[in-house]
Amino acid sequence: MSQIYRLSTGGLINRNQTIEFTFDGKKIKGYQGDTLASALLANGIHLVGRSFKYHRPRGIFSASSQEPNALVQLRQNNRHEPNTRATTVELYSGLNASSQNRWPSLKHDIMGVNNLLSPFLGAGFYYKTFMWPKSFWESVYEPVIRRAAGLGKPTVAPDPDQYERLTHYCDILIVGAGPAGLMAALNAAKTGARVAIVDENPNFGGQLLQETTTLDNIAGHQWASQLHETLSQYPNITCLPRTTAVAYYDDNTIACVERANDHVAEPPEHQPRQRLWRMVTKKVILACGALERSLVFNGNDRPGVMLASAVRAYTNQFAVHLGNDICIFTNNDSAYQTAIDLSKAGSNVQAIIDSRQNVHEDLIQYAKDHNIRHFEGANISQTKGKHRISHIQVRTANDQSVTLACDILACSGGWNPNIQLHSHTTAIGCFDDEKLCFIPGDSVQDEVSIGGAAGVFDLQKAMTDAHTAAIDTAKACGFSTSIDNTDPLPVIDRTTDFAIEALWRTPNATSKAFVDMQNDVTVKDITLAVKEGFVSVEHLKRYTTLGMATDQGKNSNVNALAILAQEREKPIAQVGTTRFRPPAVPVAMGVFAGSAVGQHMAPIRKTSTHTWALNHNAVFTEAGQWLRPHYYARKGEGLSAASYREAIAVRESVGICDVSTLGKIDIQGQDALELLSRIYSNNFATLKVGKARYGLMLREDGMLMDDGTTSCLAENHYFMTTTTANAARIMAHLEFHLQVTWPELDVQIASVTEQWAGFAIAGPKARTVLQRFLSDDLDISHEAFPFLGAKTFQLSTGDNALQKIRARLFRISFSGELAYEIYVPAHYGESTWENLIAHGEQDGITPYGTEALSILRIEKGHVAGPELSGNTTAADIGLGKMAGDKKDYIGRFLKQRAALQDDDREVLVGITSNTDSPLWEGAHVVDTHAEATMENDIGYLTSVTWSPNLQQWVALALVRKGRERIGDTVRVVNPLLDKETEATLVSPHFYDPDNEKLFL
Amino acid sequence: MMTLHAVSPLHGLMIPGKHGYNKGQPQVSFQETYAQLVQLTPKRGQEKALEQAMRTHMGIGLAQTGQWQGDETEDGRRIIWSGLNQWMLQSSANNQRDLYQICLEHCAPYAAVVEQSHGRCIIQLSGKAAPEVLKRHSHIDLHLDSFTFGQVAITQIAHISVLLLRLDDTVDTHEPCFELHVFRGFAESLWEELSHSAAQFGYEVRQI
Repeated sequence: MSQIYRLSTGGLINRNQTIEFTFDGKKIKGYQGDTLASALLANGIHLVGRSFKYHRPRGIFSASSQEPNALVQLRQNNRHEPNTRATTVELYSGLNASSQNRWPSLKHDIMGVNNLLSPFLGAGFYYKTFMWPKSFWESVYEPVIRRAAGLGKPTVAPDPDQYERLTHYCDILIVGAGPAGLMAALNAAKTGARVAIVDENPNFGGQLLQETTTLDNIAGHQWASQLHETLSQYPNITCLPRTTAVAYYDDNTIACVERANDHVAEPPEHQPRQRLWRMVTKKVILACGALERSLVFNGNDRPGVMLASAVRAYTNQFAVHLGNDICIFTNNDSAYQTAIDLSKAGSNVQAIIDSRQNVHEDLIQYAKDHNIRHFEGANISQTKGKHRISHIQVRTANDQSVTLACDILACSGGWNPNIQLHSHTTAIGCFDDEKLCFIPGDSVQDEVSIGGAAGVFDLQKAMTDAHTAAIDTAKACGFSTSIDNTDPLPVIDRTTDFAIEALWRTPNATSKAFVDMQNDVTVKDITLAVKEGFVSVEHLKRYTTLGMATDQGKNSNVNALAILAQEREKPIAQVGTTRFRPPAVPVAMGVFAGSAVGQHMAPIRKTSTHTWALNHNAVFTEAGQWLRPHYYARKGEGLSAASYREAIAVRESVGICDVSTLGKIDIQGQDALELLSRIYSNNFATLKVGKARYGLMLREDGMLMDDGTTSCLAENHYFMTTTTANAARIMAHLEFHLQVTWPELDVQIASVTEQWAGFAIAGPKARTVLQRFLSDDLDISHEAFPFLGAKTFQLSTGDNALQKIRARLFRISFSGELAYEIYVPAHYGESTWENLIAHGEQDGITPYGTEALSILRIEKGHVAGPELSGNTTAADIGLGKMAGDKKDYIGRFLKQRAALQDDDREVLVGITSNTDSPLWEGAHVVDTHAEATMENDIGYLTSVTWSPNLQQWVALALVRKGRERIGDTVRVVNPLLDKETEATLVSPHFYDPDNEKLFL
Repeated sequence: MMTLHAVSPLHGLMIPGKHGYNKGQPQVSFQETYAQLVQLTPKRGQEKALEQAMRTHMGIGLAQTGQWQGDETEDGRRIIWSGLNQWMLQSSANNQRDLYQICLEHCAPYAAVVEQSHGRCIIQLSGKAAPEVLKRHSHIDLHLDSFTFGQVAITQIAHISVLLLRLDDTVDTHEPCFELHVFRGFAESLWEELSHSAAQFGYEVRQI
């Protein structure tokens, strides 16, 4: 029978909606409103996992996101997800969960043998034991240890779900929708401020959902849902359930993770699974409550040992009958409510073990009235039970040992305010000696903690504080309210404050008394670490692994600090605490990436001929963000065949290349020429209207930065092109110097990279084809339009004799052939390209990609990115005359540094292979008889290609004293491939060194 | 003889009709709009003269930082602040008058006049969920009371720089309306990101 441990009435579950799910392959039922943990408990399943190190049986310890033990794997295949806390998983139909860190099964786990070895596996065991031989650590020890320890296994398949990130601004963010958070939200919303309230649970109410507290005689959960309903009416408030504030960053920016569709098997179509909210707020109200902490005693980790508040939650919220022999172990008053609630639900509490000598008489009387054995000044010395607790051994005040049957032990060691977010801001919590917990210290950012989060455990007082905080905060944001505008505070049916006395560990607590259950850290580990000198909290944490993993010490930190303080015989406040770091709870990596995964990681930039290229089998390559055709493959062609064919076509007839990606900058103003003169190292003062000029730019430190052409279109109007890679950088360079260095210059610059589509038409037949295309629009004969000509003109569209578009033509050449670059408004790019190809068909016009472009420029000896690497000077690449001292320009001064003037520098030369062997980009050059060592290295190859036109391997290289050594034989060495070849140093101008082709 | 014709980079990508979540009315509408654009950068100390010339000859002045103005003129002419000391003049694409020529004529003495009609793509988005789509990408405050009619921002969407304008609410449904100006080369990537984020709300692509 299913759900036999479900109480017949009560709970916030929907008994009309049964949900079927599986755990470890077994089909089980629960109700809508259950968590995975509550549904398992309703079916009597208490053993749900094995511990990290010792593989001890573990059960469900809490009813919240602090859960250290009940870690399970969810879902299957590419949605498989390890280490999920069963206490936070909303039950849905078809949920597939399984236990982890056990083999072959949960009940019979072979690695349970570790538990027997535990006397040897104390703090620092691995550091001390696996030191020798050193080489064994990576190859043997670590893999074995990793296999034995650890948690679940993640899937390696790609995540099929979508995630997204968004930015949300508000005046006030309220973290936590418990009673205090809701009260603050209502009052803040009334002021008209933009408010957001987030809560990790699917329903608002926080503790009210788990407790029997009433407000104004209404059940707490009903009060909360009514208030939620009211809040939803306000247009100025954003209510986000299932949303956890995980990190508090600078400038009051809070990261919140919304688990929008974690509670269903698969997110609905088009919906993300999770959202990362970047909340930018003026003020933050932290109402994230407090978490109960455990007690430290021998055998405190057995399934069936739970937090007292969790016992209330499973009883009140989920109507689970947890056990028949329930005992309570506490050092404070709050656990007595567990006895009261259990009694109301019809369960009997057998005994209350209170560590305090002086317990309030009302509580003692309550126990008496309800036939509950009451032990004062007592503690638990040991527990028994294999897969679940069966007995406890009570050490009474007069040192007697009493054994009691016990199948559920509800423990309370006090309450810890959730100060994680407060701590993220670098604020430091202070230890409160009366409440025995860390409460928020002075705020560093604009935040205030209220309610449990502030250590105010009395609900009535928390409500008052919430009200005040909301009004004050709204006022500080510029919103005002009159006091009449606020509702009277609800009347709470009980006082929730409690008396507490310290019990950080029981007197005999040692090797099976777990301080940190998630990392299997015991009292013995802490005392050992202290003995070994790890007395700082930071050292203790790292040496013992205390406070790490998914619960991040929520259960263990305060107890551990107190034990450390006891060992060091110092007050807790002096021992200090580790600082919490984001995230406050575990977060799936996917949500940080959002939608920026795969191809969406970065945008792609496309030119106007992209579709045409795609339709003509172009294979693309990335040039910055641009996609450019690498080559246009014809049938059966790979990179080499296609690019050789393209390069030969350019040399023999005509080719066309999309050069739209070059940076293009419009420069105007009466000081435009002066700017060019200062930016370029070579002379621009003589540049006339209608002419283009090649220019070099240096960085401030004298190294080469970029090259390109600038043309004078009209008086005081210039058109600069930069390399594709440096487009944005050069624009910024000009902006910087105009705004900062020379604000007196009257120059206006604008990026026009995207406005103009540019095509290079190169080859002996370039003029024929282009003239055919241009028809009567422009005469481009050599006489009318000589080398380095630049013109703006009107291009007929063919539609209508009157309709013309503005176009630009330049006679410049990167390939070394007779060549032109034509620029048209980009939306006309595609049809211009198609037209040019149609007009060139009879001459065999061939579109060419970046590979052919590179072959051609290497043959010609033109430098590009590999030579303009940031390590070269103008003189290095043989253009020293273009960076002289006749005028001043950026980089002039620092290029005079001795190191840059050194005769011994590596300079540009050509290299040809003396054998059939290819040359290799990046290969190094050594003298013929020298050994191939770093000391003998005289340079390296920067650009290499097989020259289809010269029918040999050619390369550009930077070689020490290279120019003086032209004609020398050297060796080109490729240590990566363990190959080398003999080669000759030659002039870098392999093709048409006299530039005859340019002037055809 | 073939003819030359203009093709938007979004041609064939923005498919008219309803897409994404298909229950109920789409909450976002997209539409590509075409415009003539001219970038104006005043010469040193000529800002006032430029403004005067524009008012006299073109019926529109310069907009304040973070603002745009216009829409009332017959050709939907707008002046948009587009960065430090620079403005974008916009007019409807079907207008037969050549905005660049007009600007050259009246503004050239006072400003650098640079045509950008082909350098940008313009996407309008409107509807109840339009701000929701944008806040999934832009990091600025897009609350309807914060980013109001007439405001313009230079912001990023998926690493793509955009000029974002808040237009007047839609005439029929009084829903918020925005316009995005993006470099043409990035238009396809921008559209992919926007449409992906809008799918959860259901969206409609309209044609002019």
